[in-house]
Amino acid sequence: MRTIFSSSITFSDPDAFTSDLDEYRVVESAEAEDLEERIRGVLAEFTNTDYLLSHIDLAGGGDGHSFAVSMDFVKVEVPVIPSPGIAPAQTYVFTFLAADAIELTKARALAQKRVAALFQSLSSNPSFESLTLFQTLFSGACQGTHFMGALVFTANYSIG
Amino acid sequence: MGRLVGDCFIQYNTLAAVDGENQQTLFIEADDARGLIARLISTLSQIPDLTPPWTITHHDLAGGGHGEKYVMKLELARNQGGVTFPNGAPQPFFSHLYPLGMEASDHPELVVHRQTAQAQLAALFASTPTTITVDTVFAGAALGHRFPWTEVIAEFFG
Repeated sequence: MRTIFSSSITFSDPDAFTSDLDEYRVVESAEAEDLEERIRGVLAEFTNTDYLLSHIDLAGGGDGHSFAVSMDFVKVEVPVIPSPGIAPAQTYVFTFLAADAIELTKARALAQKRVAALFQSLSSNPSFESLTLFQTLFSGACQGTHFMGALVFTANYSIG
Repeated sequence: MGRLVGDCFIQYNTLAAVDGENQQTLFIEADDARGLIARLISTLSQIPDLTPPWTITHHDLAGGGHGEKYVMKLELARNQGGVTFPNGAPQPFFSHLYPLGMEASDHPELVVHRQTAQAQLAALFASTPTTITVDTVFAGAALGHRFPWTEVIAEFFG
């Protein structure tokens, strides 16, 4: 699993494992759009909370042809530096699906068009400054079926 | 030490940067690790040597189930035209890149191949007074087929 901010999470109290300090979610789908929608649903669950998205990963595409995205959220009641994650409300995940290198290139280019559309949409907020691509995920494919890719962005806003 | 790939962020500061000419994605496909690395070297050699140079920001690998093809994905970006690297600029890679590709079907074989790769790295390190950074990705494998992995290795001077 790749870490979004290169910062590991340390549990110093055994009770932390059974507390609500760390929440874990998995969504699953064989289709890129549906998977993306499910990811948005999880991010919405943690919007306006003290949780930050600390890990995200993509796996699957085997004989079941289903892909899964796992997400870890860590509760941060007092901001710390470096941050252990990114705000769910500012996180955007774009997925794409294709069967070979040529089609993957096209699908990735279409995803980038959607990123541009997001940038344009967010620009209506005067505080919006930039988009950062934090992570790319890639998984698949068995029996010549499909590879899934995902791009994880965060939106950056000016403070104050 | 310079940054290579992995946790290397690309920041788009303008709309033009998002869909501009300073970022690109390469998908490289092959039936085995040797072929994958050969195609990677060939593909990178066709990219023009520009200023500022292209750098690899993300390196992913998938496939290998049922003994089928592997696909490597590389994200490239250039520090120009609204594209920046907020957590450190990656190193240019053109003249100092040593990609390795390996594959194996089981744990003992994986260990042997990994040790071979380590020996290659050690030889590379011994031959030049440089720092070497390695980014490794690993994929595979369904129904007892192959696990491939690739390493993108860069040496840094200074």
